[in-house]
Amino acid sequence: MVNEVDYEQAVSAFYEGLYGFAYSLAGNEDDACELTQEAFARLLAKGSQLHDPSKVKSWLFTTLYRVFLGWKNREARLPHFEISTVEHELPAVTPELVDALESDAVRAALLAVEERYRVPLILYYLEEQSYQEIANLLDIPIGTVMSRLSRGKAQLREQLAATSIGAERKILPIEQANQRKQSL
Amino acid sequence: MNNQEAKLILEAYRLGGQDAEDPQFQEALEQLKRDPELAAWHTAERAIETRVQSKVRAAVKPPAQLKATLLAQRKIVRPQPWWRQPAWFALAAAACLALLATIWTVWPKPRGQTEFAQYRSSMAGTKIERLDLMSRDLTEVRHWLTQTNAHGEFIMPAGLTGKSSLGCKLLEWKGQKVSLICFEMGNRQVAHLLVIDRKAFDQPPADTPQFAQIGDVATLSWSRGDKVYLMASKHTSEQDLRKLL
Repeated sequence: MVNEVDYEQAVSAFYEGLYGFAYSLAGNEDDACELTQEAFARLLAKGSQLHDPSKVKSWLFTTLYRVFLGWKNREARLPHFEISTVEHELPAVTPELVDALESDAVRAALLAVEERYRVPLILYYLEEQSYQEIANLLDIPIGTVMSRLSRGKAQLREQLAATSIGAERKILPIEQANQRKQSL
Repeated sequence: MNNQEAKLILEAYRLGGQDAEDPQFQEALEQLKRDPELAAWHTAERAIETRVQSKVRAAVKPPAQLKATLLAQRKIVRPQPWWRQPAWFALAAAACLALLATIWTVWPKPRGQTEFAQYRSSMAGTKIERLDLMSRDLTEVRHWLTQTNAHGEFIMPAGLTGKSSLGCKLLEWKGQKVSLICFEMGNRQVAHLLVIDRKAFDQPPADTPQFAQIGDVATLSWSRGDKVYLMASKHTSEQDLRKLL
């Protein structure tokens, strides 16, 4: 079992990143907290099986992800996107525009990004995980990670750009926004 | 590699420069040196991405109490997790949660119900993902409930004495704590005991246990001392349930 010092170190070092990852998966604070707690509870219970301290971080992230998948009973893999299908022109936003955004608006924009793109994006921004680490964690090919990062950035910028236009403009989830475009 | 492919790859290139030596990026990085247009795009991208990263980090902050909660949970998490215990125990726990879901499905809805019936409906409708504590040791369950300022001192029905507990979960109804304790009855049968303070109701149930059959769930409810008790078990007759009192 993980001793108290190790556990405290693990909490201090990784809980913020784990919470961010959980938030990107669950999309709300309560479930993100519960996922984070569950991952650390399992560390307490199964920590003795971890002989290499350098693996604690990846173990925690993987465990949290599996707990989430268990919750959602998702057995099927998320759709695979080939590199060639991704568009590379990101929506126009400026550094000044981003600077002016409040945390609430950024959070809303993040939650409007589809989950399959939001999760790797959060791992990339928050944890600075490499494409290889993200691929290992989510069990998807490297090319898929790259395409999801690209699409995630594009969706996030669309939302941030929409937010910056004015408070009167409501932020819509991507699918909803696309449906609205099609109906016009 | 054309510029579009290079851009896609460079979007995965981390801002801190950790990927500078990664062979996956070498061709795209070489192209940056050769193509001024691509280099300008990359410079502009980094300026925006640095700010976006900073904003995302600020936006996704854990709640202030989370770290303290995580540090505190090492006091209550047991060293022997439920998934490493015998299969029947996990099955029984699953049955415990399944019963709650069933109660929720078949229990009458609040309209026109007494306050106590509303309480039963509300409790049964609570989404249960897992028990807070998985333990066969009732002393441990009581200790955990006491630590959480719940109902560790509940009066155990005589018929449950000697039965192995599965664990407990803390629920809430209108600001009042509700303790749920699950018991293994054998043959994959599970009995549930829900305990709440009597003061939660203007008209608490009588001291004599009252039976109610709801779908395939048998229930008994009664008041004793300053607590109100609700016992439930699936596929159980009134006679068998009363044996647990």
